[in-house]
Amino acid sequence: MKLRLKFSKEEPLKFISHLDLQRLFTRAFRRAGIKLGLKGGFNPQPKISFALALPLGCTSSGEYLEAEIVDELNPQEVKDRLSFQLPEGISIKEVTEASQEDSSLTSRVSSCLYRVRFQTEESLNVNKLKETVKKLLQRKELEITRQKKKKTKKIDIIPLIEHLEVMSVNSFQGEVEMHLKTGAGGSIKPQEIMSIIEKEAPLTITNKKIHRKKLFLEGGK
Amino acid sequence: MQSIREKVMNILLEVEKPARYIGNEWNTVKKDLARVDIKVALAFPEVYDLGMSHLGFKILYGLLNQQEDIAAERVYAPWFDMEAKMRDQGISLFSLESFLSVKDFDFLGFTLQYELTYTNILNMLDLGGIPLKSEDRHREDPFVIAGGPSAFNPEPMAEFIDFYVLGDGEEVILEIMDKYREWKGQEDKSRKSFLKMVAELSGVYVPSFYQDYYDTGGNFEKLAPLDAGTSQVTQKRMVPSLDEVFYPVKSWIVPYLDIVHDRVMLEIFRGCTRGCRFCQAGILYRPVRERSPEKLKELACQIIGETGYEEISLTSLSSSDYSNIQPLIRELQAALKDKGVRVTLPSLRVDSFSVQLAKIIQKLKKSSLTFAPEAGTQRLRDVINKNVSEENLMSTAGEAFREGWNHIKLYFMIGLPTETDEDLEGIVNTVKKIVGQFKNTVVEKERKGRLKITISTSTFVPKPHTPFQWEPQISLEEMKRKQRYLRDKLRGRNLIYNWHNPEASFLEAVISRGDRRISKVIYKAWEMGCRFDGWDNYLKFDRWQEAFKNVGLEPESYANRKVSLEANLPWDHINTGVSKKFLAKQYKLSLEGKTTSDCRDQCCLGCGVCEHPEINEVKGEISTDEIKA
Repeated sequence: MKLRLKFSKEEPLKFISHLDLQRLFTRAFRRAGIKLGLKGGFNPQPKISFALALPLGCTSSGEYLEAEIVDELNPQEVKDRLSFQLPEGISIKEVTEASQEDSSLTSRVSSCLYRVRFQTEESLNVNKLKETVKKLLQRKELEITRQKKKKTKKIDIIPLIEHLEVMSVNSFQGEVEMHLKTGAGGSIKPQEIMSIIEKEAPLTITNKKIHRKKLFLEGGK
Repeated sequence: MQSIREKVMNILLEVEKPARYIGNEWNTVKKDLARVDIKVALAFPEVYDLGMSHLGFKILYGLLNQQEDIAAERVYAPWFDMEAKMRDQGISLFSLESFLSVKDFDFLGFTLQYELTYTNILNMLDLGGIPLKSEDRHREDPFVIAGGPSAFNPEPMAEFIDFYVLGDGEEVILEIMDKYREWKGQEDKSRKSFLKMVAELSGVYVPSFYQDYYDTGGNFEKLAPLDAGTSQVTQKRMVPSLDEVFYPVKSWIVPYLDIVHDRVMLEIFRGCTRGCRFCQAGILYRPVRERSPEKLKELACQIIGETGYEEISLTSLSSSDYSNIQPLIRELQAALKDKGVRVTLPSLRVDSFSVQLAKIIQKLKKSSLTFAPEAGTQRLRDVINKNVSEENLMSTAGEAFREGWNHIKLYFMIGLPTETDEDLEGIVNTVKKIVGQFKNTVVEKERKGRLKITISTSTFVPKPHTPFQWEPQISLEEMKRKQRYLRDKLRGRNLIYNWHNPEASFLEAVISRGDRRISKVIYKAWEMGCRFDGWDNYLKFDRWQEAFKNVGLEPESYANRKVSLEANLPWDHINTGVSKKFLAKQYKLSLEGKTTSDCRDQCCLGCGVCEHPEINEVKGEISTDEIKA
């Protein structure tokens, strides 16, 4: 049967990579005595796939993975048994049975909601920051350049921003929330948005904590 | 003030592989340090990804943490980027469990696996704010202790280590803890009084209780106890039976990172009596002691249950020598199959039996087979007592090819005693014959994949406590010439040749055979920025040369000198249980080109280790019979 798991990845596990996380889950399933289905002939790999890799350094409260398990088990039982085998920093929020007909999780992620908390060198002014963001969003076009090996590519990020809002500001600290598109139609990272804000405001960000609040899936159930 | 933990978390996004420094892995033992009496930091002088794979460390970690009043925590060498950040932010070297500075522990124990990690030890002490030299430490500093194979010549690190623990650690470490409890309860709490107490234990060596002497020519003369009451010789510790000693199960930590040996290591036996004359481990870990199949099966299932690992490796110095290895593999496979766990063997003997074993193990994916003929001619293989014939090698390779393997890895050594260019040519000829064997056994057109032979050569290092301890190492120029020779001859579309850094082999020889004066060189080299010397890219050989010059010692006089059989050796005071007489006899036989057999196969060769009172039963049988499918 195919299961969908919603989980969070909090401190200090924001420092482990996506590959590390895959290994962590495979081993946790084995410890829990839940057999994963296998794919591939010569070097069989467990059937477990993640919606969208979370970059190293980010925390999240709404990640998804899908796993094919061999035995028919009650999703609640899977949640209980697996939770018992997970280290501090990962917790399962929900386990549901997924439809076998659904297309892959990865192909269904359309956008993500992020919260970024940051500290600055200079004192922040809430109205000024809000104004910066407002002006940014009013632009018809906003190009950024991405470097991939030797190629540089220019993209317009305005259509990729669903929403961008200053949530709070407190002298040297600020918080912004951003709803950003991802997937085949192009994607933008929260770091890139922060760099633009840094440049436009202008300010010097000394420390930022990125948290993914939610993944939006389209299609399927 | 920020805690070490907070400071660390703040810098981790700026370093490579931050998961090296976060701890919190599955099965980590976290105790409330306010509620324990003894805190032990177990330190591995290498980066986390390497150090986490070490079995001995896991054993001590689990064993100590089993004691209610003791907390054992792990410490690894921070990589360059992390070290820079730590120094910049004033972060002390810390343990991964509680983020406690190493200087706040009662003990800081290092494992000495390789001589080129010694500068890392000094660097770790420095990062921890602990005085580097034993004599400069005070009451509040931890006791800095060391064990492991390289500790069998303790002299090069004698100035920095308060005391050494030699041999199997499972029993003696707890005896040391008992002494510590006793010492804490008594009035005289000087460091020296504790050192005196542990010096009474078998297997413990306190360097500061001994003085080194040199002759007028600057050669090592002797090492003698300062007090009449101090024992001349330190005996290594041996545990009589592996079934009875502790093995980590619940405390088998599962790392987040992909470490070098990311699997369960099931030690099926300790020791090896094959008697290769260059091999130090073969002497140090004697005698052979096997774990019973029942115990192994029980451990395997428990550890997999606790870790969820996908692979279990049957480790030892020569795993196909385990009595009844084949039924063991089959039983483990049967027990673990349902859990989707692979059983693997780390290395293979050069014989048909081993290919058959590999066939049982690598059913689907035939990756590669590794063999170690060590030398290129029969003559030289006889000198080193590697009882492998060319016929063995060819038939083994042929069988491997027939069974479907395309990739063979071969290990050779260069610079072995008595080696001539003919022996190098022998390596080339052997490889060519194996290529020929492939063409003879398989029809290449019908074969999927291409033949690949990987040849790796290391350079012979004369190691203490081996029959070759008196032999010189070849010069750096010779190493380079021999490697060049092989590089030129081992060219071809199917061949890959790897060689070991000559400077690293040279330094390894110098330090391995070093006396107490080498401490000063190591100190100087560290001061000049040497660390991670075992990494080819980071070894700063010119600085080491400068360090030798600065101290006034010639490295060549340690590495490239033939030592007389009569001379006192800087490690003579450490007794491995194997007599010096036996080593000398083996040395003599080697020069005559005479081999001796495995004592489990034929008769006892009188090495002396079984005379030890702790040893009662050592025999096992070596299976060579054909395996029936």
